[in-house]
Amino acid sequence: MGKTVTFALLSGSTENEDAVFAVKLATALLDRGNKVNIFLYGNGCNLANKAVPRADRSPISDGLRAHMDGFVLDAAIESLAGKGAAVVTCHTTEYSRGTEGLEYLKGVARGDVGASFTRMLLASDVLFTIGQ
Amino acid sequence: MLYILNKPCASSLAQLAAVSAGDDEAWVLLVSDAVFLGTDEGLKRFAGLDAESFYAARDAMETRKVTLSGKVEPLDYGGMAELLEDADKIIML
Repeated sequence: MGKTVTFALLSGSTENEDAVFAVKLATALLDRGNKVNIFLYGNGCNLANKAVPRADRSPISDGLRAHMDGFVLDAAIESLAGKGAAVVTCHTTEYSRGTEGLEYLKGVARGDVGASFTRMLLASDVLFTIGQ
Repeated sequence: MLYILNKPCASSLAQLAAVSAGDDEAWVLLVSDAVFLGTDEGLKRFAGLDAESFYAARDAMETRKVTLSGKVEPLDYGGMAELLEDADKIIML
């Protein structure tokens, strides 16, 4: 019988590799039949939103872009949600960061610590707090 | 019990020593920068730990060009997921 694994992801993209690690491990767990919850908190909540690309060409060089693309998790997070993972943000951290009105990636839901995250914890076998 | 380390810092090792005291079946999984502890030299930092097995995240090891000790088994994400499933308890430090 699979486990229910909850990730409290506190780091956003690029500040370290915690977000990449969490999403890849969550994907592997889900693919093996486990249940996965991801709660995006702190800088992690920035992973919830759809990208807003520049209208003109980004000044980032092609070489650097290729490197940075390894930290872009939009497709992986939408894929996780599409496979059944619960991906939920903390709306108050979004508010304080000024991102509350941005559009979510497909499958991401608005949430909070008191209800959404607490429900995840009550039903979890494993909790990972990843990031800083 | 499975212990997961993602940083090679002294405080993480001190925490590991504290929480694993008496655990003679400890599994240690090294991820991110903690894979630097998976070398022959790095494993000496676990001298006080009665670890049964050491594992390391393969992608973190390859990215950092770390040569693991023969005592450390590299795992892809599927392998890490399987390890998590097999562990009765898990602590991430």
